[in-house]
Amino acid sequence: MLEKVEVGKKVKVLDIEGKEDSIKKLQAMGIRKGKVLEVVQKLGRSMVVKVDHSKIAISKSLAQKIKVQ
Amino acid sequence: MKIKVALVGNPNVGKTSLLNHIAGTTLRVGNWAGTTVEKKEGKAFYKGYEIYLVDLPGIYSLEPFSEAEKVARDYLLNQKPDVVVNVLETPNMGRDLLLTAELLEMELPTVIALNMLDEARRLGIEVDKEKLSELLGIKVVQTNGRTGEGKEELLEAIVQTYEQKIKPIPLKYSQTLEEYLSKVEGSPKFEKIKKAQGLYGEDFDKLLKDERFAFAHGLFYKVVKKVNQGAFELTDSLDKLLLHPIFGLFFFLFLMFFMFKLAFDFSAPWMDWLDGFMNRFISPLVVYLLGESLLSRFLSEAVVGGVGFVLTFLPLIASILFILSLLEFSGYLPRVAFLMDGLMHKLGLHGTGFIPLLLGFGCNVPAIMASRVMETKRDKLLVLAMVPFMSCPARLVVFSFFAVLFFPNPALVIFLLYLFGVLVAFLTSFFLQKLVYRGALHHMILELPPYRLPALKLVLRITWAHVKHFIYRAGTLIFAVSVVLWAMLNLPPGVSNPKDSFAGYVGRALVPIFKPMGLEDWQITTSLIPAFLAREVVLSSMGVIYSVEEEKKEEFEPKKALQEQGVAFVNALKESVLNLLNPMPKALEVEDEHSQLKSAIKNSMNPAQALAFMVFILLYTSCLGTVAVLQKEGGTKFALLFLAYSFAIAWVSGVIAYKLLSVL
Repeated sequence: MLEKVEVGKKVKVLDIEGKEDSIKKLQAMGIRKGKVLEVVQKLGRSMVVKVDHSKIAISKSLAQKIKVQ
Repeated sequence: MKIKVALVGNPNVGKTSLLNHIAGTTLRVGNWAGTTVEKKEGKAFYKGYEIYLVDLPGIYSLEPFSEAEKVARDYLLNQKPDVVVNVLETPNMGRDLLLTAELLEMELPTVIALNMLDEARRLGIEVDKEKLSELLGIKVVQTNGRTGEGKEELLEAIVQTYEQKIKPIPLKYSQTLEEYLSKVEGSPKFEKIKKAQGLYGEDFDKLLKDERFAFAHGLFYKVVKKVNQGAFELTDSLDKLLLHPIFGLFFFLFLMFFMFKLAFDFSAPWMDWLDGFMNRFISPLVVYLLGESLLSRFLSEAVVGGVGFVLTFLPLIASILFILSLLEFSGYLPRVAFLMDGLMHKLGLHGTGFIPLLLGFGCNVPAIMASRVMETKRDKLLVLAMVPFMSCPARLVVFSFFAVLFFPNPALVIFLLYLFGVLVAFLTSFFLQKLVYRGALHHMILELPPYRLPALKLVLRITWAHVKHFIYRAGTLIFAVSVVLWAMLNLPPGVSNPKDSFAGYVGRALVPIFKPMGLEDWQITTSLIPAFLAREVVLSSMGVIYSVEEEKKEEFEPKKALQEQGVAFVNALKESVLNLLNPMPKALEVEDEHSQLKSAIKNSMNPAQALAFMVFILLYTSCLGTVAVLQKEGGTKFALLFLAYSFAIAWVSGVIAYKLLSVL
């Protein structure tokens, strides 16, 4: 789960669960199966990940649905 | 000849900067009809064409996740722009091309603008634009939103695309997908896809999504060349500090303090000066030139007074919107949402809500305008319903008058009142979430764009566009209502005692309503009528109604008065700069006035009544400026409902306060 990844680590997306709009939006923003994510910062309920050249802040509850390696 | 152009692209790709360079002073802001989504538009003249450009909301996909996508999609489908300009952030092309694929399905005449050329170069990313143009069959130009580079080429491409009706080469997806599509009728491809989605459901959806990604991915690899891997990114280094759980918060609080000071302390002397200029120069000048009559009084008091009242808001609104635009275009704003998310989430809001709520303590009017930074309609309306309960300096003026007069420990009373306001704001938000905006808070998904040095010209122009919009939308309402209030106090013709004016009648009719609060004097209820303009007015109107304060009449000499205004202007300039250097927020200081009124009030009220009155003034949105911007940002229905709600909650709280203190 992306939620548990430590700050500074890079991980690869294995799968994203769910079909709701927020998942679709994440995918449109570039967080998709096979992409490499870097966890930039974590604070309270949310975290920042970097994918390619963009940074995205997401709720940890959403990060729970992203399976990573 | 007119060419209608829609700018479409992901958020933060620099569409607005580009529009600003092309449209210049014609840039206008507003809201998309029936939504809280911001709309920017402008026009340019090129080769005999009037090119009208509209900036569609920044989106990642045309799938309707939120209001923004719906607005963009509806515009493209229904308004049929002559040319679509798809603006791409070159460093993020891999992502941006997904939206491009969806746009190509619409088969509208399209131009691609590869923006942020400089950033791409710095990161060592090169794009073969000829190849991209060849593959898609449309014109591709490279632009730089910050400098305006490539603006001419873009206009040229728009005109050529329009004249030659250059449409993209029809998209071809895989055989499987095309087979699905061949079974439905319709044109363009987008129409077919919509029908197929309805027909085949999930399997088709998944296939379509994969195909779109594959198309974007394939295109990306055909045209993008990476020369330099792992280039230094300034944003990453800055984010190490600015997103840091401790340092980042510290920096943010410092920035907010600075913003608060800059906005309120810097603009306060200018507001005073404008007020004085209108009321002590222009207003008597009108009477001086026209002679004493009801008409000249109407012109000098109602018209000049009303215009002056609108004008006094401008320094404040302009400075807040300037700073806000600066934060927005620098890319810092979404970081605030991340930093404050923990605190604000407890209130059922996303982190960005912190900014308008804090600004509310300085003045509700610009705070409400600042709610435009909220990402969703739900969040925006919640913030709008909370801000007016944040106690502002206008209320502090009233509180300090009454608290000092009636309570042994005025500072504590005032502090508790502030706290009570915050509490009511949270309760309001809580109940709204339970009753109206049900359902859990959406997940936060927010892009943190790279830090960018905003062009001053752009920030100034956006600020000016907002100020213009304020004058046009809120200013006219403020002016109209202030004229009506003047008429209530000064009609029927010939009234000398407020008791005989229309306001006096209404005030007496209001007495039974305020009786449970212990406020039985018609003088108090009547003084609330002009106080709808702004709360602090209640003191001067009480002064007049209790007839303890005679208006000072001085001989008016235009020359001498003009000189005085000149001196006052220089003083305002000096004071606003000095205020910036003073570390304490000046906005929260109160001057002592109305000494004669004090004894009159002291004789006609007791502490319980005074407390009830203060609680009422705290909660009731007795502020025309606030109501006007609420109407502008949330709609007429929202503003009126909120006004009624604030009156009800103020009344109930006032009654409880009165009863409690009477018993004690």
